[in-house]
Amino acid sequence: MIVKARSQVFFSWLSLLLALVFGVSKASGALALNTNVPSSLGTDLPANIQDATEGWLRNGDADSLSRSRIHTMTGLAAAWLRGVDLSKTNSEALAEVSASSNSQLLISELQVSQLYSRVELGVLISPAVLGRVRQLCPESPVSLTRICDDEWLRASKQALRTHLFDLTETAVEFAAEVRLGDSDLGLEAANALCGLMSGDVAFYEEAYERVTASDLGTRQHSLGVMALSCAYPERSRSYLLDLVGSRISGDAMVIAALELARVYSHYGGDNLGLGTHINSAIEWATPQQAAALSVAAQILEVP
Amino acid sequence: MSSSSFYRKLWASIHKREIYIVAFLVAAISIMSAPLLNPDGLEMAQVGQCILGLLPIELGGCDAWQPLYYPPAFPLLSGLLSWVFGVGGLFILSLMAAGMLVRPLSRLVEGLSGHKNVTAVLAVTLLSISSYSFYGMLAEPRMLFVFALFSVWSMMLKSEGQRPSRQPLFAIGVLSASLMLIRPEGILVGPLLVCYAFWRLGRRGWRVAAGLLVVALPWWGLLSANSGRLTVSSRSWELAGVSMLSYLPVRPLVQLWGVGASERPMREALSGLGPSQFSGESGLFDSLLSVFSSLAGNLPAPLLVLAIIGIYLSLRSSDHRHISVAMGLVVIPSFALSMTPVGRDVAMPLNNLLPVVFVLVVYGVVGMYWLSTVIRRRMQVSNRAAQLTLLSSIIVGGLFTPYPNSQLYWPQSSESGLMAASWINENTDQSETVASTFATSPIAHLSQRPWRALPSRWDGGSWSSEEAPSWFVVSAVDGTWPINSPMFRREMNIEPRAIFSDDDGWALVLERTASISIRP
Repeated sequence: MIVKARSQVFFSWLSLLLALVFGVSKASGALALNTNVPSSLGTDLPANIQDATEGWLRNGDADSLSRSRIHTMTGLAAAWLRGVDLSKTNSEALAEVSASSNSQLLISELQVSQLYSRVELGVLISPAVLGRVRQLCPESPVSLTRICDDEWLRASKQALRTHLFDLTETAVEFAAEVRLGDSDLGLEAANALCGLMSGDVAFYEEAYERVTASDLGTRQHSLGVMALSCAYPERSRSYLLDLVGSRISGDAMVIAALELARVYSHYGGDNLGLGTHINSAIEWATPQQAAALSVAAQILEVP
Repeated sequence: MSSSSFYRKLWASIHKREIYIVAFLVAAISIMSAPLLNPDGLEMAQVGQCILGLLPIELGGCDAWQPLYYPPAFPLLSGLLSWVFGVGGLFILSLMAAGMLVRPLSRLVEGLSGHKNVTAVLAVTLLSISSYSFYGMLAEPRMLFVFALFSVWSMMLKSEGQRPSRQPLFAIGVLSASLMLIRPEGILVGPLLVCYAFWRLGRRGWRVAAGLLVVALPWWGLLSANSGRLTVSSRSWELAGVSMLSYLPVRPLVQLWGVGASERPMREALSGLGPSQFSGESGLFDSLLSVFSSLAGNLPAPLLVLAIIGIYLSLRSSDHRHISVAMGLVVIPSFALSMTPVGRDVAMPLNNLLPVVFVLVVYGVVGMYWLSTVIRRRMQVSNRAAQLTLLSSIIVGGLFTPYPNSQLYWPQSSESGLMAASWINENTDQSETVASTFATSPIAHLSQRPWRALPSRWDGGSWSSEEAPSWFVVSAVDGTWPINSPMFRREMNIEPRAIFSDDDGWALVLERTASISIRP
């Protein structure tokens, strides 16, 4: 009887072992690498990506690019935009790639008004593409002729700036880790605002007035500060330093300090004044603000 | 029959039936769920292999990781298992823990309902919950933590009925401390268990406390020595970071915060500050509402109704009140964590609520047994028929709850991610480094190439030409920020080499090379 009971126990453990082997094998099989993957393989795209890139950017048009579903692959579009000799590209295709390299949530939000086409938005948001298209005036393709009209361009940028500023108020809930996708419309709008301002000092000055007039500590002000600092780091420095040094700037000083630290970490320069500002602010800041300021100070110290 | 052979036979019969059920659950989970590699879980395994000296030199990176950042139990065990069994070994702990979880839960149901042989019913109930099979095939320590948590409490409750000399209180204390070696929130379990032990056992509660301290003190000592100050958790700096939520947008904050075990400026700065006050836009009421809506939206409605009945009955019964107190102590850490901004996960809302989910399962089965008795008496049907009807309602309810995986894109477990990993494996040299964000790092790891973290917007400096990675992989989960990084723009000429996409997202492989030349 005991022998029978023992064999039953043995078989029960054996069943568990077999179930485990099955589970592990299934997991290993599902995550196994495919072998003999040719270098030319890439779904949805022609086998030779470089040829396709060259072809599209030289001869392509917005329709064919849209059909190729580039806009579903923002990373690819963003990658295509770098290292490319803009003078040898088709401006309409380039504008489409530029639009594709942005958050599609933002592009569709900006298109709601129907004031601009997709390719026009791609040009307006990207200073490099705008420069390229303006060089081609008045021979620009039909879809981009409005860009060549100075008055239209000025009015459009101002309208777009207002729209983007409004979008920076969009709140986003914190999602753990980095599973974020394109969910932060406000931040994407601030990034686009940076693109819109870059290379146009007068336009930057107008945006500066708008940011400084907004309420301190609001999301709109925070994202506006980040956009200003992104577009013209040196010009924004004095305003950001004022925020760090002011006892009435509240939480805005944290954003300003982190932006100044970020700019320093990327472009270098003299950080002596900045370190002094941050250290003195730490002394009278709230514990939470001091924690954040010490992070900015830490970024400054990284060689 | 002698008494010893009787007990041996009893032991064999009980365990054999339960082992069959555990085996059934393991097989069922394997069939129902696709394996999912979590970036954290994968890195934990590699950290474990680093500690054990098992990671191949060419895949190194051990010097860039903080071995004490993750609680060590899962890294060491999964590191060893994946070294022996390959990538499939990463899932053994979660699979086994999910299967064996039915045992401690059964003991709790038996204690609360008075019914015996509840394991099979409980197993079917568990399988009706999509999160159960999902976390059973997710390579990370949550399921192991839940299993250990309920095992410890089950042992504690069982020991109350034993003679004082037979009570394994010291071992219970040791096991409760081991929870903090599995998950950071495990630090809350031991003290709550000690409080319970003092309440129920009086001075004998010291034995639980002693067991707890035997494991906790060396661990806290190690952490403190490592950080240069008194600390009880390697993740305490995260609490300080929470305060930044009110200042920074989420994506830059996550970049500043840093993920994974590698050094980041914010972690360095915050580690010296210790925890600060939580802040966030939502208050206590909003947080509670969020937690309850997560539970209601992701569990079968019939199970929730039965759980409410079960809780009501258990609270009414003075015999079972101590078990309900214990269950209350089980859910407190989960509730506390889930009510913080970082504890709420939009994509996987039950991430930090798993203990609450299984407490609701326990009470749901208790409620089901009570209701089936009522139905049997009122409607003159057999007990089995009444139970099957209620069980069916839970299963049908489970079909209408969302599967966690459907709410997010997993580049490492998607078809496009696996193709990208295969492409890199086939078309790059073994010594070439692949850079990506932490979220996309499993693609690089699966490709069996050394991985480097992409710099965030806060990281200054630059890679020298010798140390710059040759390959990059970006996926839909990253968005465009890696490519738009200023450092990336300044230093790199990168060219798309392959793009793979499926219905859920895309993965793009890039090579650092000369700029794309447009032929005239």
